[in-house]
Amino acid sequence: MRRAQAEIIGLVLILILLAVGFLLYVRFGLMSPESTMRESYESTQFGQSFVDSLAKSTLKCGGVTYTVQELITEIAKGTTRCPAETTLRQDVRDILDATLDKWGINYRLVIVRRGAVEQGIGLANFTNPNIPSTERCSNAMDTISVDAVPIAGVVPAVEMRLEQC
Amino acid sequence: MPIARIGQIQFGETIMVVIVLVFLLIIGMVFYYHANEYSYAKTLQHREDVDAILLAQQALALPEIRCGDYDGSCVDELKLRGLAALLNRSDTNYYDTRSDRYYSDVFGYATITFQPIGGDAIQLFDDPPIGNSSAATQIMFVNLFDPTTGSSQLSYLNVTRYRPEVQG
Repeated sequence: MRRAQAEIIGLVLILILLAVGFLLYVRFGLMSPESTMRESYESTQFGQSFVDSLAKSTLKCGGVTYTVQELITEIAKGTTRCPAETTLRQDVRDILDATLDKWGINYRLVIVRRGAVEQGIGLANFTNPNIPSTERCSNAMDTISVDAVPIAGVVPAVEMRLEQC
Repeated sequence: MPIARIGQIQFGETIMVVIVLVFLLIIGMVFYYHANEYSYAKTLQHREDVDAILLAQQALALPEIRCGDYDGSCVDELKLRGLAALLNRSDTNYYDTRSDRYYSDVFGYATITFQPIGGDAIQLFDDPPIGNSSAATQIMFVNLFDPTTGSSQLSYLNVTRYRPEVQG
């Protein structure tokens, strides 16, 4: 009787060990998110290279060539002599259509005044229109990365920021 | 109970224990094999990703195409078109063959393309390996600066790094 009980206990121990091993395998082997070098690079350097390059790229406004950064500065100061807001909104929308929207990236591109309470300066709050509105990047969603470029020459400081969700 | 019968039962028990042990051993070996394979695939993928990232940075750092005032994300469009024409021409002579060999050494098996937004792609280098290969792609945003107009067009650098599969 005692020998049979000991064998049963041994069997149960083996089963418990097997179950624990299987659970560990499922937990760390199958369910862990695939985080490759490229993914982490993409979520950081990709966004930063986008906002940096976008800020330095040029647009034509009223026959004059401006960088995006210069145009945002003009708008923030209220000194623009061309339809800057419309040009900026349209050109940036075209760029986003051809890149982040097409690649299905869930993002939010905003231009804000930095401060205790951030204020949009009324020209940029772009999200991916191909993603259902409830799933788009917003304040309520967790971000994978936030990359920003400061816009020089404006007080209080303005920044262009790309959030990836 | 006769002694022979008890012996048979104990022998059966021993056989069962051995079967269970062998079963556990096989499960362990399968698990170890899969874990090892998974870890190897991840290491390989990681290496390919790193290679692609390094290649993208290497391409952007080429003094042959960089803008005059150093800016990590600025590429001179005229210089880029000049180098692309050199590397993609159809006729070859001694000096061209030397430059081919030089850039093959620098880039390895890769395809490097600059894609201006709303413009035509400029392929700088294209040398995929013959036969089966795996590939890792990397995208980085840059500005294509045109010194004749002073405009700077948003573009992206698309780099594909190939790794030929070794035939066993």
